[in-house]
Amino acid sequence: MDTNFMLIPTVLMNKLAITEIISCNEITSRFGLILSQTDAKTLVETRSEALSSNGRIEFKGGIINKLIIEFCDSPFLSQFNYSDTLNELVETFYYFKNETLDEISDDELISLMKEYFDKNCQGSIELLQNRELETLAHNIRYGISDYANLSEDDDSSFDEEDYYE
Amino acid sequence: MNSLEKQHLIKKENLNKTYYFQSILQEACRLKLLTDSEFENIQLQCLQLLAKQTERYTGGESSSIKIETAQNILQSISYSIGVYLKNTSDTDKIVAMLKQKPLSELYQKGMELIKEQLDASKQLLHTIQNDCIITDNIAYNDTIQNGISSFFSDYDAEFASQDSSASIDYPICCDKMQLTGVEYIYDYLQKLSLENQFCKNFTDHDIHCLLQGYNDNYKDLLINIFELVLTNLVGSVLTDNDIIQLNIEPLDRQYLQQKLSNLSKYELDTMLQDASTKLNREFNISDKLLEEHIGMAIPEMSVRLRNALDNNRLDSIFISLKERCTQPVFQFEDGEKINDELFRKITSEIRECRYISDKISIIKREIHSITDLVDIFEGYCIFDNEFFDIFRSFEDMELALLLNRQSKYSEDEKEWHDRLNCFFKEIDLTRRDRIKKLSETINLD
Repeated sequence: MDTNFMLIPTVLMNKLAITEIISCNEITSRFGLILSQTDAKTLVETRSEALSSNGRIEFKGGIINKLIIEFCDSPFLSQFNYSDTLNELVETFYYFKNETLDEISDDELISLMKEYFDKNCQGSIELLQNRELETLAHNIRYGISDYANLSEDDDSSFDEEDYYE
Repeated sequence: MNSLEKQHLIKKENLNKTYYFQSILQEACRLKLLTDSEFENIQLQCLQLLAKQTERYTGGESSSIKIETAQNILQSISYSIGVYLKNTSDTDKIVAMLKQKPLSELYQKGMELIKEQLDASKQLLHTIQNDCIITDNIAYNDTIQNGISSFFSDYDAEFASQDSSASIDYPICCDKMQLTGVEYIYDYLQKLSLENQFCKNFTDHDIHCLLQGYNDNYKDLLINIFELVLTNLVGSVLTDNDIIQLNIEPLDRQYLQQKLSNLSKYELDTMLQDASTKLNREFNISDKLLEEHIGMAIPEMSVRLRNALDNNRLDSIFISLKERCTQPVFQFEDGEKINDELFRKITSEIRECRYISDKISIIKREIHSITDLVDIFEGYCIFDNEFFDIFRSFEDMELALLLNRQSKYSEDEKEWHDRLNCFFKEIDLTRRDRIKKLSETINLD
């Protein structure tokens, strides 16, 4: 029996999302960052792809806007890499929503991403994905209370392989 | 005069009880009772409800959730709406309701009904717990005293109302497995209460003897007590005796075998239906639900009865009462177990022996407990036919102890188990029976 008879009117939702993204230019232009209509469309497409590849569903937009507002004052962003980085950040965000088992809220994840991006990773998205956020997700999965503290000399961190032995 | 009944466009029998709301929509679309725009409108409302519930689920902290979680929440919404829709028997009215009323209203009403059913189920369980049959059947006692209570502590009416996770081992007669969530639990408890009410016509001792007659190990079996009671009573009605009683004597069974074996399926069904009607009258059953429940048990009984008649095994259906079985006569207290070091010494000594007579004399001299003896058997120091020589040197009591122990751990498949079986095949029949009986009377615990 087909129980998934509902389909989401995505076209309508996407249009709304593009308008919202463009409206963020008012704030980001102060930092010399502007997204074109095409950039916004690409971002919305990236979000849809990231959602579907991570097996997630979203009912109200706003994540892209939140990322834009949070990251626009980063010293590592310029008009040159702005759009590309945002696309990467959107993908990273949904991937780590799953990896952190939905244990932390959207706002907290975004603010941690910004903090690591600016400080520990010095603007490297690869380091953010493969080192900082992986450690964060690991800490959350293993129930470490101070999960946001990623310093390596911390006694409480331990190897996953040791854990299984 | 036959009364005329209104025919509905959507047939109730075409609807899926588990996914009621979805199947109504499907049927309505199939029969073109809903236009495309009306269906889309319902979809959109569902989506809005899902978005609202998702926000409640995440506490507004996450805008996205996993698809599986969303599916579960959507299922829960559909379930709640379904619970409300089931209240209306006229399916055409349901379609009209879906067109006119906002879905959120139907959902709210469904939630209220779920809460009502939840409260009613709790009340029912409480009554059942205080007034159940006193029996040793473990599944019955566990389900009533512990199993179902976990449902109430785990049930999430808002986000997983379709789940019915409870530890229910006791099988009910005519279980409606297509129901889910609180509906299932309510239905289960209602039937259990009816069954208890019916069984209360007999003393706990009578029921115990009936179950004992069914199987000596009835404690561990997953059996429905009501079904056994009902079947015997129907059998008693069919014997044409003046008094309806729980017990069916072997002579009655012979009579029933003769009376029923040549009947066609239709005749057998009719006869059982008549017998159940007579039973209702004799026991003054006025509760319509109980009457219905008894009626529903008959078709299945007819199938089992037909099968038993064909195989001449009526004793598995119509049971003779049996008093409490005799408790084991001997309480065996095992001797003191030797320590590991000494045990190793003895096994290596046995292993070094050239003749079996030496091995036997060491065993008889050193081993004073059945546990040690079994360990020796499993310690790779007795080989092939030596087992037979050792068994031959044992008295009946020792063999009975071994047999008792072997039957307890029969799934282990040790070498000495096979050797013991072979040995028993060889000895004479009277001794074998004597040892078997002896072993049954020993309590090794």
